[in-house]
Amino acid sequence: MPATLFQSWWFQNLFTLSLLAGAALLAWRLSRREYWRNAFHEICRNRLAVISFVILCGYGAIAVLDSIGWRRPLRHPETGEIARHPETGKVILDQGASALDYLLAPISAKREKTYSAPLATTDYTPTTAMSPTGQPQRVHAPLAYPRSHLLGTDRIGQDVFCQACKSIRTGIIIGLLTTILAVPFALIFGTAAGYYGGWIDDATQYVCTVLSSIPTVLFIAAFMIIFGQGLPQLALAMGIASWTGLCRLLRGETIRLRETDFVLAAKAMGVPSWRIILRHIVPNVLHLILITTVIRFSSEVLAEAAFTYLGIGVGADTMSWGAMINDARTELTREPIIWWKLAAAFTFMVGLVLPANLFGDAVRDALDPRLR
Amino acid sequence: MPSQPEQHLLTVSGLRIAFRQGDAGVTAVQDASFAIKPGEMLALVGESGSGKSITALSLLGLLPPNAVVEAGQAHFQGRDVLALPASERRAIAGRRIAMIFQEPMTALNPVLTVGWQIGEVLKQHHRLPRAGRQRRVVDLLTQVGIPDPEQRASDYPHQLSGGMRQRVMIAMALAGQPELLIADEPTTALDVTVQAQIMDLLQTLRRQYGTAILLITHNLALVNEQADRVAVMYAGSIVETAGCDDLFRRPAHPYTRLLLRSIPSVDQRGQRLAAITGSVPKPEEEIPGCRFAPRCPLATPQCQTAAPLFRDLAPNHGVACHLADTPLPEAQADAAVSKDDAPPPTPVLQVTGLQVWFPRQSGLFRRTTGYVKAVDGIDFTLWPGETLALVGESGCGKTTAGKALVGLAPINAGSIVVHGKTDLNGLHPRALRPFRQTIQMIFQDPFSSLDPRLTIGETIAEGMEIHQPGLTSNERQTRMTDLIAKVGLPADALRRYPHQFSGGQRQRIGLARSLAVNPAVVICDECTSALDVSVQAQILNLLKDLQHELGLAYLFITHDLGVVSFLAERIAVMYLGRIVEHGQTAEVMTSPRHPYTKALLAAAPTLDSADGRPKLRLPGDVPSPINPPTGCHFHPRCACAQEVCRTTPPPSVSFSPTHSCTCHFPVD
Repeated sequence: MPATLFQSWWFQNLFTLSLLAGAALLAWRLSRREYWRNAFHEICRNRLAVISFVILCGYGAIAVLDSIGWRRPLRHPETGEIARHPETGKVILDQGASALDYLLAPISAKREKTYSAPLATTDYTPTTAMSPTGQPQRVHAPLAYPRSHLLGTDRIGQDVFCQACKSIRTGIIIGLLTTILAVPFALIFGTAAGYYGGWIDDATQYVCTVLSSIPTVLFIAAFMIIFGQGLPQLALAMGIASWTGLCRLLRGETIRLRETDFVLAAKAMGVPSWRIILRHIVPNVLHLILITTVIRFSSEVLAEAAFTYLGIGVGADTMSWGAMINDARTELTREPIIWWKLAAAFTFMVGLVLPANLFGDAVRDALDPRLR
Repeated sequence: MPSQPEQHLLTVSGLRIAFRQGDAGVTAVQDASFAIKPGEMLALVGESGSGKSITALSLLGLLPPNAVVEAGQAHFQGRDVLALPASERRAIAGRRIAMIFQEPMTALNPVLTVGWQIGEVLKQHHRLPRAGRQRRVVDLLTQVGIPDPEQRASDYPHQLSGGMRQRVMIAMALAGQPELLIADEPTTALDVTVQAQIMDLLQTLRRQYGTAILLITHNLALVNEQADRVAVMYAGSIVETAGCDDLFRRPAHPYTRLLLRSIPSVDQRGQRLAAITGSVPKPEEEIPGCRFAPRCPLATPQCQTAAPLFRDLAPNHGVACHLADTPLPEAQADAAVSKDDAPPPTPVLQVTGLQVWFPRQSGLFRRTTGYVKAVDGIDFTLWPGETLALVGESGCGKTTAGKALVGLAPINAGSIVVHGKTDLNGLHPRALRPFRQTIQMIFQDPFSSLDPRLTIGETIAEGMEIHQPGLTSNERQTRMTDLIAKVGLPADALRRYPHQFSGGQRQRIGLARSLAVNPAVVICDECTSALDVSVQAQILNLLKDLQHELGLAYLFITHDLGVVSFLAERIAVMYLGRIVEHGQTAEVMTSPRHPYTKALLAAAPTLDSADGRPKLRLPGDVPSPINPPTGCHFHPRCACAQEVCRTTPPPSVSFSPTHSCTCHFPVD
């Protein structure tokens, strides 16, 4: 069954590692080109960009840790004995958990009964208890684990910090996957439409216009109803909905490049069209792709939160900032107000989106030869 | 230097302007001093980066935000305009001192009528009431020689030609009846015939109103014909000032002397141009001593350490040089002047009836409603080892013709026969590919003709990978090293990127890229017009050397008649898509037969004394090729046009085996 294949740990681990290897290879290839090396030095001079990059790396590391995982032998809850199959004697494995889960286990294991404020020692809402004198009174009951919840706990006593951390992967996967799906479409259709013009251009433009005339929310809602809710579905839907903008941008830039003298010189030399696109057009629009990708990444993260809030995002079993904000909707109406879940989701989102934008700006400046 | 400041309208002394770049300051103008008398035309001449425009902008308080005036005064009618507060300076700038800019295309707002824009100036500066404004706008437009001024006042800028727009800019500048007009490269973006009209207009205004003009330009020939006095700037300093005659007959500074020699003209045929080595230093380059010393053939150790002071050689002739009296080494004669007179057996390129028509489509279904006849039937033959110049103003189709030859423009009809065998027109693109290497092209703009993301090696190798796929990478490397040495660049250039090279060096790279595929014909599309004069001379010399060495044929597309007369054996003059005159360079330059050729030659400024030449001015602009005039295309601008010219296309008339022109009434 494909669903179990995609959900199996070995597939996820393989996928994550190959993505990492791909990124490392790309970085290595780029580092050998002087153009990119200069850009890198330029970025290094910008302190804000370096700080942003470090924060982004932190987020990335958490997402990677949350994406690789393994199954462990099931143990007896009391004796700690490894469970074995009664007939075959094989070790029975549990559902498995990600590396992040294992790291966060000490915190997430500390379950409270219900809401508690960040770093509180007692319950947030008073409960009725008998005083030593036998009178019923409203007291703030002491927590099971005082001062150990950095961002408090939610309605069922789960640690909010752990939830926010677990949501990082969702956000980053949405941002990355959407981009990875959208860029090849935009690149192929955008450059082809711009370079060849004629009917290829017309066809691409019609598709783009049709796609961008469907309201994004409705399109994604329809997509999720047909294919079911889930992280990959959402990323695919958002990818399809968002490649048209980049495609138009690349088409415009290609039309401009098509008329530049160096492309004309290559044409006059008799270089075939596909080769001109690969050698002259694509490298000269790469910086545009990179910039839009970085800037788009943050808007995708925010969009995911919005879609989940609207109930058409990732399913209820996946933790995400959108889901957290959705929960917080009811909590905000309580008296006294439960503010930390919203604050946690908000802080974590800003912590990702703001550095991403700052870093995107720095990359754009570094790649623009006029600003060097 | 100026002894009686009260006589002068503007006295600039010790002006120093620097650009702030981070913490460091880069001096863009160093100790500039000059003065203008009322009604005088002073030319500030220099190559790119000499600081001439910045000097002018500082007078109007228009410096970019990161530029600062560090020292100096500029007394205008007794007040130092540099020291004035912004509010008081505004009362002078734009009113007493007005400026015309280089680009008439961008200096006007495209969404407002020209009448409104001139009216705005009148309103802002002169508080003229509405009714008076309208009349004054028409007056001004009449003054600058715009026909139907009432009509034109309600036109939008895009409805006017470049020359007309420049006239509107001059009208705006004149609105305040300024005492001083600063013209920053006022004719650089215009055609020669239009340039002549605009310069005539400026001279007339000067005579009529006594307006002093500060002409900023890089065009020495123009200065020779127009200015009273000249200040030559080099890399931020004024190196020589003199009366116009003095400067051109007795130049003192080695830079001026070399610059004058490096301008190509008929006299230098068969010689090498005295190219100044290297290129103009950038303002941020630190050069101790004289800034010209690194390029100066006379430089002594003293020049490299001590900056020369400005001194007077004669009254009104000052120079900043230690060695103003030392003679320069003589110009080298061209080694390979002698040529076989016997023409080679087959022409390398034979073009007959070449037509490039661009369809004009309109409506929902893009029906073709007409054609822009960019090139409308031209014939020429190119023999190995010779240079044919295709001359004409912008819009005459010369560049399109060149592009059609290399397959960058669609050919409507005609044949392009290579080596007397193959007709390229009609060949399938795949069949055409092997012939692409025969005809190569060098482009005008050295900055856009190289892919910024490929190394020079990758750029040069591209053509070889297509046309010589058999070469091993070692052989290719050797060949590239040869080529790069041949065009005069260091061997390590192959690993570097285009942005590390200057304009002249990039043009050399473009040449190397073309030569890599062993072409027989190289089409040079205005390939030196974007370069500084001193660098242009280097490239022209290089083109000549390579022609002798490799037997290349050049199709030299240009509007610069000086370059043509220096380089070309034959000239074809184009007007609106047709060749109107065709002949040996000497024939066409000395006895032009077509009225257009004659006017073109008369309009182009030269370094020779201008007195003897007839003043022949073409009225109007080049008509649009969308709707060309009937009969002879030239008749609306032609002084000798008669009825037959309006109806019948002129026949081709031959005057010698080589010289022909298409005209009903050729000039004798």
